[in-house]
Amino acid sequence: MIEVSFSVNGAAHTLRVGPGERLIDVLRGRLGLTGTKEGCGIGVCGACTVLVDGRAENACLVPAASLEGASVVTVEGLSTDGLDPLQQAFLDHHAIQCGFCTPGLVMSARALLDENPEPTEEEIRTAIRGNLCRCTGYEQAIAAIASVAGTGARALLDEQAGLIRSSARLEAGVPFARTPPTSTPAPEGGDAR
Amino acid sequence: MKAGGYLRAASLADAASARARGGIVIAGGTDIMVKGRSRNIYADKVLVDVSGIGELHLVGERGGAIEIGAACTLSGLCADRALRERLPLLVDAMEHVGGVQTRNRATIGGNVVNACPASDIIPALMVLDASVRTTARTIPLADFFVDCPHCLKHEGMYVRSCLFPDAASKKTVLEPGELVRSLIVPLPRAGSRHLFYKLARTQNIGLACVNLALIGTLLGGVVEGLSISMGGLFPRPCTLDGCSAVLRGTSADVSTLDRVKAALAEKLAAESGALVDYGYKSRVAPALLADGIAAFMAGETLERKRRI
Amino acid sequence: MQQDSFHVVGSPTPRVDGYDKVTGRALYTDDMSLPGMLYAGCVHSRQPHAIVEVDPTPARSVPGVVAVLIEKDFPKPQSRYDWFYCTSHPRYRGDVLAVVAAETPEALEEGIAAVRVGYTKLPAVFTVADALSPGAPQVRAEGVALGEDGVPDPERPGNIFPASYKPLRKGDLAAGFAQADLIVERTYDTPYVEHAYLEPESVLVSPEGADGVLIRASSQQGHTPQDFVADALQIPMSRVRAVSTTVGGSFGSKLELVGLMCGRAAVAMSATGRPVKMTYAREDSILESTKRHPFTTTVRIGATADGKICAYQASQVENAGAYNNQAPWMNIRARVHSAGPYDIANISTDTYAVYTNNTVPGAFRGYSSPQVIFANEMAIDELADELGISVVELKRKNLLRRGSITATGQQLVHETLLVDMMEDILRDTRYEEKRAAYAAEAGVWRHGIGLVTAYRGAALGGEGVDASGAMMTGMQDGSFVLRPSLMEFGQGLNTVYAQIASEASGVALSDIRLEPVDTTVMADSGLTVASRGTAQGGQSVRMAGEAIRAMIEETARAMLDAAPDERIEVRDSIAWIEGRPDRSVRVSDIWTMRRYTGRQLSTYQWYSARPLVNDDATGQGEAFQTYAYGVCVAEVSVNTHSGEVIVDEVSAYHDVGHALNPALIRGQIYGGILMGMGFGLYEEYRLEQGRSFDDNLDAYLIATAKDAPLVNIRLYECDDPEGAYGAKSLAENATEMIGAACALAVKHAIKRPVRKIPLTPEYILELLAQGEACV
Repeated sequence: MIEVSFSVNGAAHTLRVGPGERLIDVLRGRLGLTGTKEGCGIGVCGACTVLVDGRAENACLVPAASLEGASVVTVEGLSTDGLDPLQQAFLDHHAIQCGFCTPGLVMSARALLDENPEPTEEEIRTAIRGNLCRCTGYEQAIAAIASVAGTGARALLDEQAGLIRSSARLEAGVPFARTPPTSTPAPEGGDAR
Repeated sequence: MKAGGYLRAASLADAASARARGGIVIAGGTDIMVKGRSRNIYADKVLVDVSGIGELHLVGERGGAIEIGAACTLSGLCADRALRERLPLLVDAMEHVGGVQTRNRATIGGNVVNACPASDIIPALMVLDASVRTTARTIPLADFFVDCPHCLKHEGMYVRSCLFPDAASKKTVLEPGELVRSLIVPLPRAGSRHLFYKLARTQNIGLACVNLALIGTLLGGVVEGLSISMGGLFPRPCTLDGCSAVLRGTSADVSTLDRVKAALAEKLAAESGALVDYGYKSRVAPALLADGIAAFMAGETLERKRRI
Repeated sequence: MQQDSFHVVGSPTPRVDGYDKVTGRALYTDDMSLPGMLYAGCVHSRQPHAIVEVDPTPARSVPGVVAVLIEKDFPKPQSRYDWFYCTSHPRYRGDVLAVVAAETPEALEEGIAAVRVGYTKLPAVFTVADALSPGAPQVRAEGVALGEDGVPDPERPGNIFPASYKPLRKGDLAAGFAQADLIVERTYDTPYVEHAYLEPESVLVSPEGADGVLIRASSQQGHTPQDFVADALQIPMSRVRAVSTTVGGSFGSKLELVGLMCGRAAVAMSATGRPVKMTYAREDSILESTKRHPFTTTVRIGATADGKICAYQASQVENAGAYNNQAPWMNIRARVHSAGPYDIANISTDTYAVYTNNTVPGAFRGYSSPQVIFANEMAIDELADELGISVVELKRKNLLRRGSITATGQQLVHETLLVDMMEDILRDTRYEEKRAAYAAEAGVWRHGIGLVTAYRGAALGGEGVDASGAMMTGMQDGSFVLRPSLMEFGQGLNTVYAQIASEASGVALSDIRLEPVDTTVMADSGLTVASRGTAQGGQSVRMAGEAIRAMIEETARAMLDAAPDERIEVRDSIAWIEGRPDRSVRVSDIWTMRRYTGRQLSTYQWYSARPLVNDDATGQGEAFQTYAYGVCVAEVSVNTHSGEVIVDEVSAYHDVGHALNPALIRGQIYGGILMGMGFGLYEEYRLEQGRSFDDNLDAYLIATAKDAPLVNIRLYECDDPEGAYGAKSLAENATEMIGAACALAVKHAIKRPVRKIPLTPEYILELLAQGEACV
């Protein structure tokens, strides 16, 4: 067992950890911080993303024993004093469905905006490339992140646009309303992937 | 993960002696922690954490080369503006490794010592003529690796099922107790241009199917110097010297490119027995090489702008 | 439905469970722990077919291991759903041979590794072709052979799963083909697909009270865990309570496997007297969980020279795996839609599943529709090629319209927007202009554009009578608890239920709290499948809300002394006399008045859809109450040197009846698009001799944020009386067209016939190597 001292969400901990024990095991199993999720165990899905000294890292790959002096922030640490603007934006933009990828996604977004407050849409996509989501298709999450960034990289999606009503118009011989379909605007500058 | 012990090495000497006693070096852990996940391959091994050794984090320029400490993380290096300016090909390659989370922990030394045939960084270092500085000697990167045909048979080359818990001892010439200190990368010639491309099935953050690194110079529209390396294909990292030779002094016109493709195909044919995706790779690698060279000649990239 | 007259439904209401999910407070099953809890796991078979001898003794002596259970320790080793909780005769590599329970996850891992298994291998088959060939080993005793006529022969043993056979017969096929100027016959194949929800399965089973059992499980179904546990323990279901938790995605999968895990954990709980949690690693999840059925579809289609389709014949054959629970139901849907959204007078299709020693497929978003649409739309495209007319003209001549008779002989009596939607998408995407331009392309990168038109029977249809219950209970302070019987697992059902309940009752949305699905509170209302949750499940919620409104109005009338001809309005938990907002009373005061006059402000309502009449022998009759229509265009770029495909843009237009929450709908569509892209282009769970190495997300690839195309969504509404507030279905519609659209786009880009998906780079290069362009 190895003694290691580090902080989690501002609280100091000194623990004796196993040599192969992972940060995710410490968070979920010992500290009761279950917001960080395990989706694959091999650092591919990003559901376990936390901040270690401000960097987004997969907690399933971080040996707890390596954390001496480190400062770890999990999703629970974002909402100690009301919601983080990113969290509010995820709610406002309907960026959540089953929610399992959400904590990791929010943490990756937090790390991105802390380092790069005005990312382009491509930079946002690159930052969350290591966060897999099977439900949402990522669009509304990207809109949420862009709205906090305030870059206007993505126009806010008009939720009500694109609804076409049929019957009354058809019967009256009036063609469908020609509102344009609501589409994701092309990225500015057409950045390479 | 099961491990026999964990040692935070305070110095290179400590780390080297722990290694000599059978320890497994760990820096970022993005390979070790995945390899050891569901097999007990490190159950009786001491993990020797070198990430706290200061001298392994140094980056400095001396004598026309940049020396990069082995424990430098990929994201740290990518954020280094001076490095990006001096070694753009290397930074380009590093940016293609994994996702942000991976790059925040993965180290350049770890990637090289792990010696995966599909590594994105190794082909870039090969064409940059890098050397490995260890605790005992300095070796050209080209002489650092040993042949590993088993890796080519390994379906998908996934880290999770890698055949080598201790890649350093089986896939490199490192002696017991010998550690990598840094990579020494000569500055490219003035006026060099480069190209890097990572071919994979989707935009997933995993390993390349095949990758390509090129660097060289043109003189009057004609290839003056050129070095090429491709990953995902060979039992040992190599530069495609035969292909470079065909191109030198030419403007890489279509018939020259056909000869280059044929040279690569011939070299690849030697792997037809071992390389598990040979059918596809033997078709795509020569085409990728030719397209890469054409883009290189035009000063373009192969990256396709998405979402147009 | 006039949207302006609704106050809550039709709005992009924020999710009721969003706050908990975004803060990490939401509890998924593995987040839960109980005092004294054991960790359990399974020993899976390493052989696809064998008899085994399992020696648990070495495992029992591992420190921390508390119990090792083998087949004889299970009161009933085989579940009611065909799979085994525990077996000594594994029939596929996901079969479980032993269950281990230990004090810690580390001890569990050691215990599982220590169980000794001796295998006596048995002959096995893996492909449909092998399973149907003469002399093939019989995988299951109940399997039957294929007759000469292409129809299962119940008199001879074989490997066809008899209950899965669903024929469809309409008109006179021979006469239809006799009319045809051209007949085209093709065969198409689709792969095994993994659901790849982000949350691996987890169950927590604990003793409750003296002799009860409590289940918390990552299950798509509220009630089936109860069913499995009672079955596994052989105790009355009334002693077993399942309370739903937050579920991290399912897409049809978290049904049988989760039930089996609950049964195994329950037997371990019973053996040890302690709570037992079983959480699967991703590799175990992929190994044992169900997959999408691979289909081999042979289509024979006849048309007259002017493009009118006069005959359609198909066999749709699935690899059933070693066990199977879903194919009999799935094939009901598969036969209805086998001939596509086309008006064809003469149709004959045979759909059935074949047993093999492979991973077992089950329900997966679409429930046969992505596979059926791929084969059908590709056949239509090839027919157009052979006829020398554009596929757009072919569709214009044959698409279903209002009043058309479907493949099951049902007349489409409700609004049928399909043709109009197609014309819109053709115009918006400039489809025909692009097809012409792309046909002339040279160069390494080629563009392609593909069009799919689809219809989908909404909700359960002929699979069963769609019925569900809902309970709404008022509290003294005017807050309400809404108890649903169908499940939230990410799709947003709880949110839409809150909206429906609020709309129907007049109670403020913020005063309505959704509680978990609890089997001791709510009657089993069937599975949350078939995209029935909102349209049909929402009906009982609506009825509950309307019953509450009636109670509110009754008491408000009395409390406000309203005249008999005065109407009472209720909204945002206030009741008032219409036109006289000063004469109002709060719902909380109404509760108090009712309580003291011996009445309640609560209700339990049961809704049952109108029954459908159809003939199982021919598939003729009413297949669904109503249909939802969709059109989709996918635009791709293909690198003809590497086979790489970039999906540039996807336009998805959906008839949703009435969009009860447009924001949730959009989210479903975005996610469905990426899932469909995977189906068409790169997702495949590859099995070789019953074994796969695609058992984690490094090998089984799903779309990342960088893979997403530009997306154009258009929602259509119409007046449809069948679903709650006019809703139809959307969840499965959102994904079912996309794979086919991408495949068609690639086909057009590379000008080669496409008979199989996924269109991996390797496969694309193989097709390109086949020489001259076909179109």
